Amino acid sequence: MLRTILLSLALSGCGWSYGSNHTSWGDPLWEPTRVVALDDAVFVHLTHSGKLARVTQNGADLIALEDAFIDVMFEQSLGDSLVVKAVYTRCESDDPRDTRGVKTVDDCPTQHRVERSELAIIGADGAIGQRIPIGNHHNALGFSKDGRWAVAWFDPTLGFDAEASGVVDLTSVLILDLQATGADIATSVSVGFGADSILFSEDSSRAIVLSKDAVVTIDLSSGTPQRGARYSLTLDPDQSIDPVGVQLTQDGAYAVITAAGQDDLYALRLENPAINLVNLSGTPSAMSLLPDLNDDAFVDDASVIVHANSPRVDFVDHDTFDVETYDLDEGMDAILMSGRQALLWSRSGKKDVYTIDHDTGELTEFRLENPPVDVQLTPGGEFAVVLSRPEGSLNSDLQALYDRSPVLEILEVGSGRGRSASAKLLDGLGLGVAFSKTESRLDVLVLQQDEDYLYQLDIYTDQATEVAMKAPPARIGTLPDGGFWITHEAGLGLVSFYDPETGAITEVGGFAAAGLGIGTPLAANTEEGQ
Amino acid sequence: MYTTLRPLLAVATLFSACAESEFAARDDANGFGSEEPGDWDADQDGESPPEGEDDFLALPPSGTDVYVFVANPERDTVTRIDAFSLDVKTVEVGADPRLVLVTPDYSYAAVFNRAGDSVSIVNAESLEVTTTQVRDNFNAMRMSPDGAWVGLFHSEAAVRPDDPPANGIQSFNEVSFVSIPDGLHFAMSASFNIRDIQYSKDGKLAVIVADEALWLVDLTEDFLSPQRIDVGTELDPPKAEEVVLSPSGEFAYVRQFGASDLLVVDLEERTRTRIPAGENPTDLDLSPDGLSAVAVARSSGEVWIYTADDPTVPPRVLELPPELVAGSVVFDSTGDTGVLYTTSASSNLYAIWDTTTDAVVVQDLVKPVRSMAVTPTGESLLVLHSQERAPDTKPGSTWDTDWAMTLLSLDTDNLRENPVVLPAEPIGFANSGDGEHGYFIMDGQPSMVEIDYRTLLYDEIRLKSLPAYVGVMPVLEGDPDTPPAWVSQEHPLGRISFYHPPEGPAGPGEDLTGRLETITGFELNSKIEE
Repeated sequence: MLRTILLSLALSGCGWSYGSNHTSWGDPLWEPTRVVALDDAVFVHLTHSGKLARVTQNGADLIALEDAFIDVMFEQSLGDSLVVKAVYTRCESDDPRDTRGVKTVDDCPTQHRVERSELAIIGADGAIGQRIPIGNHHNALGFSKDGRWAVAWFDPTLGFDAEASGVVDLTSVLILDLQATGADIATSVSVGFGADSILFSEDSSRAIVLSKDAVVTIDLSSGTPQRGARYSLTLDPDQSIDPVGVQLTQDGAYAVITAAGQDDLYALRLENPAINLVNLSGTPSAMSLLPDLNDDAFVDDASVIVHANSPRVDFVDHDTFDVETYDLDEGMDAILMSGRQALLWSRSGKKDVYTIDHDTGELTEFRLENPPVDVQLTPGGEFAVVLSRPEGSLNSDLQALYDRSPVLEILEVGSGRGRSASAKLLDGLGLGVAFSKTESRLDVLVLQQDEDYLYQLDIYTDQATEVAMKAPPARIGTLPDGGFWITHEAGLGLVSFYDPETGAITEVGGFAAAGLGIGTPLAANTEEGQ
Repeated sequence: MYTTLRPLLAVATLFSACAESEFAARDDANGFGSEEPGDWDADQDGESPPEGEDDFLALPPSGTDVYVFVANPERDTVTRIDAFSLDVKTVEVGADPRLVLVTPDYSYAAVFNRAGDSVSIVNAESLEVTTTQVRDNFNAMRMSPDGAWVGLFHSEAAVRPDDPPANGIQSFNEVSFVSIPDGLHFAMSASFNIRDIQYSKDGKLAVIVADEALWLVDLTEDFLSPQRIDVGTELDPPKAEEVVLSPSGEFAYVRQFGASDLLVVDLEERTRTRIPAGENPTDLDLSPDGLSAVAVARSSGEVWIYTADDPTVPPRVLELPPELVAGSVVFDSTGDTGVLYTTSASSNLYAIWDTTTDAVVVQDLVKPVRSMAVTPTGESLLVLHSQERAPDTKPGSTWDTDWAMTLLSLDTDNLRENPVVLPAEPIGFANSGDGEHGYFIMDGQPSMVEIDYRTLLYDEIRLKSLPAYVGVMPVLEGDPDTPPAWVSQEHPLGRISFYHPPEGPAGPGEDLTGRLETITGFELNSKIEE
């Protein structure tokens, strides 16, 4: 069933500029690859109008924050809600003539705009909840696992085009207590320049902030954020250490950190702070946690680390920090975990895939037909589904067919036999997969670039079906309430909802045009702006 | 003279009877402290070359019962590492800390700061630091047996290439004494070219050994002042080469360069007496029980045994077999067995001397001796060979090699030996207090060699980088566990490994592999802000 909501477009003219921090006319109306799914709804960011659309199988609702422009929709959800960054703009000038007749942000000359920002929490039903002031420069956000704490910081890699007003402190992060009210909500904590990653402990009692050359812990256990230890990662002020990966050991005792270009793992003891460097067999390209699945007193978790420049994988024991190394044929740069089995693959053209059972030391090598672009494990870790890209061939044999095509390959990784279960030539480059599992079926749903159908393959029976769609897809995901959503490359917005058991597909479109041309009103001339 | 310079770390050394330490010229921390030759030139005096004595067992490098202290000269800090928990703490001391000595009760570490011309006294538990300025231009430090004092002086034997360039006024006669733990400083001038500071067993008397005089310092006085005793009546007496104090502290036995007798100084009466010592005495030691002073007369092939606390008792003279050239003696811990050998000739003979019966059994080795060490149990002997060939070794044969080592049992009824060719020069050595294991490191070899004295077998333990110093933690009373060995290694941020040898009452075989734990980057700990 196709339900399309058509929203009238009230365009004021061609070549119209929307605002300094906003998209300009001609930019996409929405981001089909940026989606938050809550309950039965999919939330998408209408980047042009600065609003959200809440899309369900029953239609789309527009979510607007009064006189604010929603600048960012954060993809990390709080389980039952999502968070957006809203920008409020006032038009201020000492000369009243400058602001005379100004009704929207776009009417206000750039030099007279004064902005402030808030985080707003949006419920699964679209209701607007708590609003928390943050800095205009805060463009990254992290949440603790219990949903109580959030950290907002400036990540230079995400860009920054908001209007800075007043002094901007780029050396601090903002800790937000989402359960608090009033002045206790936000606490600024100095962590050093260039915070670029934040990690929360499993019990949400501590945050670990990685910044340039240093790591800072923030104690949250008392309910009032307090800066803990600051670990320098170098003694040489001329040397820059760029942390690229961080994870906490399962007992929360250590933070282990990899740094760009360093073949050492920094093990930071969090209680009674201390640093130890663990020498690895190469420069890390990816790191994952091998979980401790036994509920006993022994520490069995470890870091799994692969190296693009070295055909080895290291297992770093989180008790002794001893390193156990397995030799590979090719360097890997991506890791998937299924229980205590690690699957290693490469995003950089290598065609080997490995599974390693560290408990038994069993290493299994797979050889793909083409270089992979994405690998996913089926629920339960029985199979790995590989989307690979064509690599070109001048031959005309069977192998050349594979070489010239994108391929969907199914690896039987649960058996330890090291074989490919099936390989399918695709029409288009694989964009993403999702899985549907019942007692008798294990379906993989495959999106292909520029192909307006969904490819559905039952891995158990190798039976495939094609489900027609209205437009080429962009992204696929699972709804918490069941079923699948698919966003499409459709300028006015299109989301499909698919039930793999019945094969029914429901399409909702046109929502991205909502609010176009209305313009963002100026914020009320109060500090709160509401 | 055997010297090796290591640029990285000065590691705590602790001595059960008399703590002493100099810069790496003596390499005391590695157990290769050779008798300092000073400026004596054997050829100029028409004498045969001196013996290179290695008092391994008198100078076992160690930490406290729990900690190893590591000086970080580049950071002006000292790091305390718990050998069992690997807990690391770092405290600031004075500028350029170079020497660390730990009191016998393990309560305090005394740190000599070379550039700061100061001594920092560090509480081993609380890490509180008291720093006291001392006189300039020192490079050697000796601790009294009771740990109540350290004496500092300039030792020509301890001069190293990276010493700060001399400028301004310099003295070579000065001594500073610093009390522990309160850091009281007493400075004084003795006489030219101070070679050593010795202490009486009770730590109440210090004897400063200079070229032409001994200087007595009563450490019980409120104000310390040196009292001179000349080592001769002539204008230019033979220089004192070696001094031992009788256990009562009543007499000092002085061996002088080129003399064929010993000078006995009555420290209470301030009188001098000369007693015969055979021809060309080259070594002077106290027996382990302190009852005897023993001189080895190399040219006459004799061992002279004196009653240490009563030099008027006629000495016992042991005639050595004529084929044996012996210039040095080492005893086992009981004193029942002595080993006689020479380091100055190309002789590859040594003798096991049963001091209870005066039976002397001569044996040969694969190469001449550079140094020897009897294990603490007295059952085994480690011989490090010089680069010379034995007289009967054919050029190009197995033992025509630069570096070699021999492990020997001292059981003359069941003599076992295991000579081993080494790939590089040994630069450090330490024995565990229980006498079961020994450890040594070699120049340019990233490994530590473990010796099992029961089997006379060795095991090579790979390290992360090149070793600098090696030591063994002391045996704890009532603790049946074999103490771990430590080995510091080259790393810009500091690296030390602790090796836990195979455990079990049955010895090796129950648990065939030891465990190596490495801490790297502990200098970063000094920069942790809590």
